Amino acid sequence: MGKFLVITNTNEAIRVSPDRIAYISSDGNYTTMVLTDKEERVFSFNLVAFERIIEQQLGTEAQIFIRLGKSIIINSKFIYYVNVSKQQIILADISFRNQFDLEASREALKALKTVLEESTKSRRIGL
Amino acid sequence: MSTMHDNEVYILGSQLPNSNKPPKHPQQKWLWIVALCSIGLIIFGIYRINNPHIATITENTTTESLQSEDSYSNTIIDPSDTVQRIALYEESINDVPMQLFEPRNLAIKLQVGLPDINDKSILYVAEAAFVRADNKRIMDDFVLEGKQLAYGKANTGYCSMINGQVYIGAKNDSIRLLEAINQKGYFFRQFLLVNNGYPVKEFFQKNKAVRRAIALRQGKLVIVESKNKESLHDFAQALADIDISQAVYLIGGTESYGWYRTKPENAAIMFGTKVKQKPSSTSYIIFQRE
Repeated sequence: MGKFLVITNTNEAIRVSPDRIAYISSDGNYTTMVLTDKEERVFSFNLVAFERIIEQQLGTEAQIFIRLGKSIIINSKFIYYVNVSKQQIILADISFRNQFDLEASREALKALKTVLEESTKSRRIGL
Repeated sequence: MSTMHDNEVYILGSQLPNSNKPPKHPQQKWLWIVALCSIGLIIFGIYRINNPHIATITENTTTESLQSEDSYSNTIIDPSDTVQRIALYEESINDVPMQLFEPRNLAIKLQVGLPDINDKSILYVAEAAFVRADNKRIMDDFVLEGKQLAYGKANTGYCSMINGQVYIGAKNDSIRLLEAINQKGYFFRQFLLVNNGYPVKEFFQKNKAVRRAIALRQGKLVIVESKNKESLHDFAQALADIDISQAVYLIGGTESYGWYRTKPENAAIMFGTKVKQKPSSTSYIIFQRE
């Protein structure tokens, strides 16, 4: 069984499999975790803190997540479509009905496209 | 300080030598921190010399922000008064006549879009949060049954409704906002009018209009409406003078539409003007029979 991510705030603890997380977005000091079933959870810490939690708890398994620019972390398993000129990235998978249409900077998507292309040459980055 | 830029991409947890994660320079980071602290101290020193009263103001602000909330529970029902109704009365102070609507044993909630005036379970309706003129979306943080529909913190007052508990306060932190999200409650931000029994003194808007506020007085929740056109300054002062401890604004003016009925069987009494082309994001505060 893979590792679970446990995120806590003052009153609650949320235990979630990384495979259920579609993406995590930032709104200043808040962070919203969006699950594949579109359930959303808001936390009162920023994306850097969330990133630290993922890295501390998941170790190398954290490599399924990609930080894309200042305001978003995506689950790389669900990258389906990247369009640099339209600044669009779609997360989708056969395991869930929804698809997530996200926006990112042109430069970030260009870099992501390069990462994806390189991943076909080397499996070391865990994609 | 984060060095992340919007055009950067990296894989989390990647410690590989060819990782795409941007390299960290701890020494450079410390140099930046020291430089920024020094600049900050110099600016503060200059400001302190020019404004010797600054220390007193800061101290008062801190003290207020620690106690800047009051709450009301609609679960406390007076056993001698179980009727679900709106108690209506009038008060006047400093030439500011006001109507007070006090919900008795009623549920409170927010709604986006105008409720049905023929729904007799609804005893009071008034517009709640501002709608932005540029994009017609709700201004500032707004939570409806746990779902956050809008973001922002331009206004310092807030009102949250969580499990029958109403909180009105001035804190800028996110505790009540997160509670409203996590417990399927309601939350909106508005002008703060009264904080800890003291009126807010400075308002950007200087015009006069019919004013409305949701407020707490001696543990009771009331909606206060000015009978005449008042400035925000005079209205806030009047609220404080009638012993309101916390109050935030509700949209007033002639175009703010709503109604009330003191008892379910009574006819609705409307206020404001019903504007046909109201933005669909217009929000309303509602008192309703459970």
